[in-house]
Amino acid sequence: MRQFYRLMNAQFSELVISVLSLCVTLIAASWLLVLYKIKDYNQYAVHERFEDIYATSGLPIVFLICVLAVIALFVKSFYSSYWGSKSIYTLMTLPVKRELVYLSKLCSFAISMLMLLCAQLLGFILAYNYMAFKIASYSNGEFEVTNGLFLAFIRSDFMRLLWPYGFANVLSTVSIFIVIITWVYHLVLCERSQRRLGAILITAVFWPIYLVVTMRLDAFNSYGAFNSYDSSKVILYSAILLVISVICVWHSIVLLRKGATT
Amino acid sequence: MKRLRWSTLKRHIALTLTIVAAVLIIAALVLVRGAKEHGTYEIAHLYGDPSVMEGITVSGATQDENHRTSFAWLDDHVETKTEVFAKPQQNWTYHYRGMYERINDYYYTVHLNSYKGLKIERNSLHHNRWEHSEYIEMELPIARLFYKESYSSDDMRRLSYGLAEVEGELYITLVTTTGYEGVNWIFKLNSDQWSKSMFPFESVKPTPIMSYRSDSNDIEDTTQTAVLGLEAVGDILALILVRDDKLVIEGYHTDGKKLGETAIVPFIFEEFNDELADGDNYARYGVGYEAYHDAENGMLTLSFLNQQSQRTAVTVQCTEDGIKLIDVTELKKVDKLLRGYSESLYDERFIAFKAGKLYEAGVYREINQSDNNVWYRLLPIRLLVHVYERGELVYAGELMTDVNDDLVRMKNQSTQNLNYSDAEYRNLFDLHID
Repeated sequence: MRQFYRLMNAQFSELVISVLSLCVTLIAASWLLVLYKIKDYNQYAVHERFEDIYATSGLPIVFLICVLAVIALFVKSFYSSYWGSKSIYTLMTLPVKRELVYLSKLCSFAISMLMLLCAQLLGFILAYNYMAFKIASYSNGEFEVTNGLFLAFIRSDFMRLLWPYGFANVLSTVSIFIVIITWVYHLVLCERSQRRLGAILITAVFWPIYLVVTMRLDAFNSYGAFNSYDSSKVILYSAILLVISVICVWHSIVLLRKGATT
Repeated sequence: MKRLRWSTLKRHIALTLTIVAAVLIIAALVLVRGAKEHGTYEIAHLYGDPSVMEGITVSGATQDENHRTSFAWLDDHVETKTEVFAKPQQNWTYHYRGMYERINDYYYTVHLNSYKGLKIERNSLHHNRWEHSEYIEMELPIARLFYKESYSSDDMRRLSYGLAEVEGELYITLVTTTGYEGVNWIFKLNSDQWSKSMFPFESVKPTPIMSYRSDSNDIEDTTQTAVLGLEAVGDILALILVRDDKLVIEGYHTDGKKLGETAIVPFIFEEFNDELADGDNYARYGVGYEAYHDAENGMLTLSFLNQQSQRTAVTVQCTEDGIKLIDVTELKKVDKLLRGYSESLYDERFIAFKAGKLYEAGVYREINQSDNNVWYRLLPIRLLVHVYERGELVYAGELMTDVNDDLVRMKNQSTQNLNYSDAEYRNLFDLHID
């Protein structure tokens, strides 16, 4: 356990500065983009709801870019072991189980994602409070919304996708993040060991993700349509994603045990 | 020194930041989601003695596509419970009264089929949209009931008023105008063989439990009769009729035995007996009524809307001993408390007669002259409660909510090219008085 703990901290310390920078950028972007969007707000302006401002200011896309950036940082950190000093050989010859090496890197990736999600949530709250503060400065109660943060949170499609309500939705969000983390790691391991399974899994990963996301975002799809919302279907697709995650973890460990990645 | 600190921190950086992130996420979610009961639900006493609300519960819900807050006004405080939907719900169109006869979980409509009889359609809701429609086609001995005039589309729409349910069994009578002659019936449907097909293969033969004449019994008698509907109060059927200038409510047991009747004179309907009105002294009512049942106390309150958009509530008690007229109250919309508010036919309301008083809870729209161009649905709403005793207003109160905050986005908005979705705005539903 101690070996795992040390390895995880060592792996994560390679990412931490960049991930923290991304988190700060995301929080700052949340504030700045909302600030820009409402710069002309006064008592004569039309006051859009915060969730609409958040969506139209491009913050969901900024978040997506940040997720891609975390994935890129992880991939870069993975490949850096193969470049220059070729520290992968040192890593593979450490007197620890290969599974622990794998899990430590996987955990450092997951923690990076968790930090990004935390930054997104804080950015949303910060931006809402900034807007509420600005409106309160001139509104005299006319444009203020009672319990507005809660309403914005539950009325935002994007926030409900990331911070869902209901067992099926929570399961699907968690399974999407798990599959992204395990599949990306598996993909680079497959590339190093020249296995094709990683690439083959692309469709298997993205099709259920696409279905779950469209199902949850567009809940009004006509009844009976292939992606009309149905909690049992959401659970089924989440289960498929979790099974794929298990396959990715299992195959990644097999590859590392064989030393195929070096 | 700094280098030392960083190297020490690095040894535990993953766990430290995981804990920090997890704590921040949990705290933020508790802050945001924990606020679900922080909406405004406060009682304001506008007129009269609030003690009339003791022992009375006014319940209902505010709902939009994402969440629903059920509330209960109990004496002097309000209790709330909020549910956030796992998926957004579509606009709840079907709660509008008069469009469908709602019995338990089904919404019924009745169609007239000239050749065979009546076709009853029922729908259930799934996430606020029709899940599926089911049909029963029933034979009527239609030859025994003739209509003298053509059936208007309004009459067709009213056919569902003729449906009532007692202990899981459906009873039906044919809603008519005074333009009918012959014999009408109350039928027991006698079937739960609902078909998924719009054109069921087999017709059901209902059991007539009683019959009544829709016109005069003999040539000397010129009584004009129209059928407004059939209601159920516990296990008693109440047949709502118009006879000449009278509103008549007859009570029947489910075996067809007549329990009694009561009449309110004069009661003028614009459509039937307008010519019987003595000048302009009387209000003229529309035939589409609202019925509020209190099976426990055997009370049935019927609410009629007149041309001046004022309501009259007629309460009768239906027991095995007979039908007794309890109260007739005009709900005075000209009252100064209501100036500036308007009632919509489609907005939620509930009326109940309790302990000698008539309680009315209803949604009213705030009218502002400057809002002339605004769509009615975008006017701010108020939940007002009025209590009448012997026809006089004795109390008015309001449940103050923050639902009108949803209209903030409409301020300063051009009404041209208005992109509006009803489901995005909270509305009041399921009002009930216990």
